[in-house]
Amino acid sequence: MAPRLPLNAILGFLDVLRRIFDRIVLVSNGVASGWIFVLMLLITLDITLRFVFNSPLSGVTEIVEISIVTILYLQLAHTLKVGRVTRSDALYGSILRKWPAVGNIMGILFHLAGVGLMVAIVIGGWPKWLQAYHGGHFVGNTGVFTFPEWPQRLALVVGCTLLGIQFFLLVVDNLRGLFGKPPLEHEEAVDVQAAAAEESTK
Amino acid sequence: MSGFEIGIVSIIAMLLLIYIGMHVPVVLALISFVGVWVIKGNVNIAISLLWISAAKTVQDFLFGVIPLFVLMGLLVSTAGMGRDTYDIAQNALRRVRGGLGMATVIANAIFAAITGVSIASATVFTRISVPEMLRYGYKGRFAVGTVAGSSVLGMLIPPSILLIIFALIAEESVGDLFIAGIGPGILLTFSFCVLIAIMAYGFPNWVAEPGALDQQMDQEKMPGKELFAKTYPIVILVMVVLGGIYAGLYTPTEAGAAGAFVAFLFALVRRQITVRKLWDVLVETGHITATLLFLIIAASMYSRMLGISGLPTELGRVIGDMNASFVQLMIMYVVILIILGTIIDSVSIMLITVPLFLVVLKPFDVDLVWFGVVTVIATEIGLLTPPLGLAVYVIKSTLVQKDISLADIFIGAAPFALVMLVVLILVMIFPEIPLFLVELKRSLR
Repeated sequence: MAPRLPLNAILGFLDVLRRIFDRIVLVSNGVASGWIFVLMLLITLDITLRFVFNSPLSGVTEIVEISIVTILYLQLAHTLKVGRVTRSDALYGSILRKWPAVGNIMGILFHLAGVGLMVAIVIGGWPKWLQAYHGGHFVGNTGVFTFPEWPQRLALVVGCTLLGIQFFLLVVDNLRGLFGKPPLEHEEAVDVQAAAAEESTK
Repeated sequence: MSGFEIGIVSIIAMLLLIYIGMHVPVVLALISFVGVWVIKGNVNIAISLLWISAAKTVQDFLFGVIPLFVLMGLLVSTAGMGRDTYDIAQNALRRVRGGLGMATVIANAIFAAITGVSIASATVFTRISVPEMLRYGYKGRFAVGTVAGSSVLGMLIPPSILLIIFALIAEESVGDLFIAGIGPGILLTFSFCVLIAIMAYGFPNWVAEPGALDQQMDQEKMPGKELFAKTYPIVILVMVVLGGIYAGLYTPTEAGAAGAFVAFLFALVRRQITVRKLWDVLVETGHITATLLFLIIAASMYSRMLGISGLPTELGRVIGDMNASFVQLMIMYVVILIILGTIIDSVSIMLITVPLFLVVLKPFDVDLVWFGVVTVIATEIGLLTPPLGLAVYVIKSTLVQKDISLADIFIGAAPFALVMLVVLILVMIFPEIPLFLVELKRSLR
């Protein structure tokens, strides 16, 4: 049974890679989530300073502008993973239950489209971030507040790469489904609203 | 194929792909990519279209409004204020026949004034007011129907993410749309209450078990102190958020931040929030934000593609040749929205239809604020209609009482959907309903 050994080793290695990927997705999601809270504090501080001390913070507008793009791309992969990217899944879900083979083949095509689009965006975005980095592009007004442009351009490339890989993992799940195997790993988002309502009823 | 034909084919392909379950943003991006590639015969142009939309669409201070209002809504729920609105409304209506139903409607209206997340109301009140109504002998079908029907108030009464997104795509003022939502929101709230009164007196067996409506509620009047404790945080939040915007003190984005901060303080003071819960709230905020922004970006790819295909202008010309009147066009638009609403979520619908119709309606010189309100109400009707009304599915998935079926919720919500249709027609016939306050504000400037 000599040929089986390298296959197992490869599968094991891929599994380790996937775990590392999952960790990266989780961390980038966490950073972006925390950043939303920081933005809230920053803007509130700006308003307060403006009204109470008549001295607004400079650069808040620019920081928010940069942050929105960055937050979005850091969040997307995890959002897809927990199944929160918008889709009308009633028909797809029932096909998947009744005819798993058909459903999984549909899923493979759907998710491959996602992979392909992310590849296209990364191809388009790679030279742009290098341009912004080497060209020293910045946002804001000289003398008031400036910030380099490349971090958000890089976040787009990184985020779309992560999202592309996550789409690919969905393809893998559909492939596994075709052979009657369970999905790799399942993670569901916490339903904050329902939990809060439940608690207040007690 | 001409750009026009490609445009038409792309719309059909798009609806089909969305219906069979492809992720909506992926569908929009894919269709735009392929469309531009075919029209221009150059893949590099298609790639750069994807990148430009992905990088530049949401790179604006205004888009900060989305995460901040989502965060505020979730913090408000965490602070237990959903429950408060219900207690206040129930206390006020405890001697009224069918009062628990009306309390659900009123509580939704108040809750809507302090949150902007559309599905929040459906989730919160499924857990809060359905058990209460069942306890007093109301029928399950009526209880869930009332929650489904009144949950749409959340999207009409400001602040509302849906109004914000419309403002962003139509390049209108968020503040004006917020003001325009007030009139129709109050009208709809009032109409729902009248509907419940008619049902409670005319068709009591539809509402509750025989005799249940006649029995006196065993609930005591709420002490003034408790009432005050539950009311003042809501008043403060409304003043900070809506008051600030209307008074022109700050931008909607800043109002979202201030509102979120105040809601956070209330949650802290009431000891309703732990580090763990705050973390869950932030992660959820991130998910909802990413979902919405991803859709907006994909929709911007799609509307750029439409622009390149020349479809909207061409369609405008065709419709001009047909000599279709403004009224016919609006009826067509509303019918399309309602049909789409039975299949997809409201944000996607708006992002698909609005860019197209903005061009078509251009010669008629419509007030876009009014158009936005009509769009929101029409979309919401679809959310209550089978086969795939989204609000109904959200309620079903949150419902603890598993013996209430999807069909029950659809049937229970049907009278409310009808009332919404009536209100929609009123708003279309009398544009003053949404625009009265807007005109007032515009004249003050």
